[in-house]
Amino acid sequence: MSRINTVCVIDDDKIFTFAVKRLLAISDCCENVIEYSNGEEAISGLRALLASNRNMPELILLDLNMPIMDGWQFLDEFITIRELTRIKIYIVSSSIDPADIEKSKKYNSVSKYITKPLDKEILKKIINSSL
Amino acid sequence: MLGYSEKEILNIPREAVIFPNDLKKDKIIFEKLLSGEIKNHIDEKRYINKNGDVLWCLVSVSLIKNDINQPIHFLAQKINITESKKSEYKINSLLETTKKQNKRLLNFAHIVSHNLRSHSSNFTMLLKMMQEEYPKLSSNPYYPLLKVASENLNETIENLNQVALVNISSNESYSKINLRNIVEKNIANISTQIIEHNVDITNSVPEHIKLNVIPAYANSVILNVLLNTIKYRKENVKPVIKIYFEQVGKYATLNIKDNGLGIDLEKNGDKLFGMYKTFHKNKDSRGLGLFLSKNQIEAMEGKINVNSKVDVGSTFSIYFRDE
Repeated sequence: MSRINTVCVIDDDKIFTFAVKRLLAISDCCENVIEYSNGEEAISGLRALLASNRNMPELILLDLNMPIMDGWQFLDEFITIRELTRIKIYIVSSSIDPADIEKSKKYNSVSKYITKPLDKEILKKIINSSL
Repeated sequence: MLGYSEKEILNIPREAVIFPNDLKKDKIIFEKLLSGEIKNHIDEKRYINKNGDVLWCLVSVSLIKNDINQPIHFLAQKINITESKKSEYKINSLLETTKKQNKRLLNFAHIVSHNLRSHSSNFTMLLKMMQEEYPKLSSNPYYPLLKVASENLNETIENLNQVALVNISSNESYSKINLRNIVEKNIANISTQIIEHNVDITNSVPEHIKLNVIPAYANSVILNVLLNTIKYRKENVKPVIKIYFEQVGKYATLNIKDNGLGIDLEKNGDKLFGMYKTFHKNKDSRGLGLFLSKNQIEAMEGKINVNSKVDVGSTFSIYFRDE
């Protein structure tokens, strides 16, 4: 099984982040998991990682509907930070609204739009394609 | 009309019978008439009658002049339109209320489907993970029940979402389709069921009928009705489905006639196209199909209705708007 170093989960749903961490642990495909509960927390967290020269995540799983700063606002902010452009972003949202899926295509930094629920197989595919 | 006698009306100033807010407008019109800028004027104006009630009148005013072109007097004719004004106001406010309610309803459906979906997908995810991690737990008799409940919840939300989408995104793109061809295509889609139940199906739609529709919706409506006719076939009778075309006024109409169970329209007619109404004890009757179809055909400014007799069969008529 191929492994990546760090996965970052940005989601306000505690059950979802619990499940993702569990799935990642079971499939043994990454070293670390960083979690943020909204876009704003994620932006300042990622900036702090950059500043302290620590390991950056290779992959972000991004939710859309979140309080304070939602997934779209996070993306708008994210693309302005040049040092972060190497990170792959997958939107993982419960929205099945075609308008959301269309909108995600406008962001070059978004690799794919995935609708919840997530399972082991989908997660493995995401990890493999972001190696 | 205003309740004054002729003597009384001659002795009170005009200002006393004209609604204050309309006085200014009145003055301007008089000036224009006097200067010869306009010859006459028709307008809706408010008056106050002897009881103090406000009346809406349609007023036509012109200036009468003598032989040497000097103004003598104004001639005004008034028609009381208070009642029709009242109805107009009532209709407009009803329309506004309906618009607002409709918007709220769509908004609500959208929010409900979105917010519920995040929870239902958590259930799905957790149940699956639990089964994988603790296979023993899933042999507990409660487990399959929880799983079915979770699947049903997902499906309900999915359906609700579809309905909300049909209503929100009615700016979907239209294109020209050949009616006979899409009927054929949908028959082909359900060929396994046609063979399984030995259905005799004939499509007599002429080849030249072309319609401007939202193709995904048109397909979905036709497929839904076809599936419905097979689903509610009569046991031990060979199902016969006849599909034929008819032009009804401005509507290109597709009729789908079956010899199935039929529906008691007197009992259920008004519920037929409602959400989650099923009338047959059929294990996979969901009830959403026709509700969604109705929404889709209405999004294309068409309509759908049914003629039916219990034990004889039903004819569904799908009306496509045809400019």
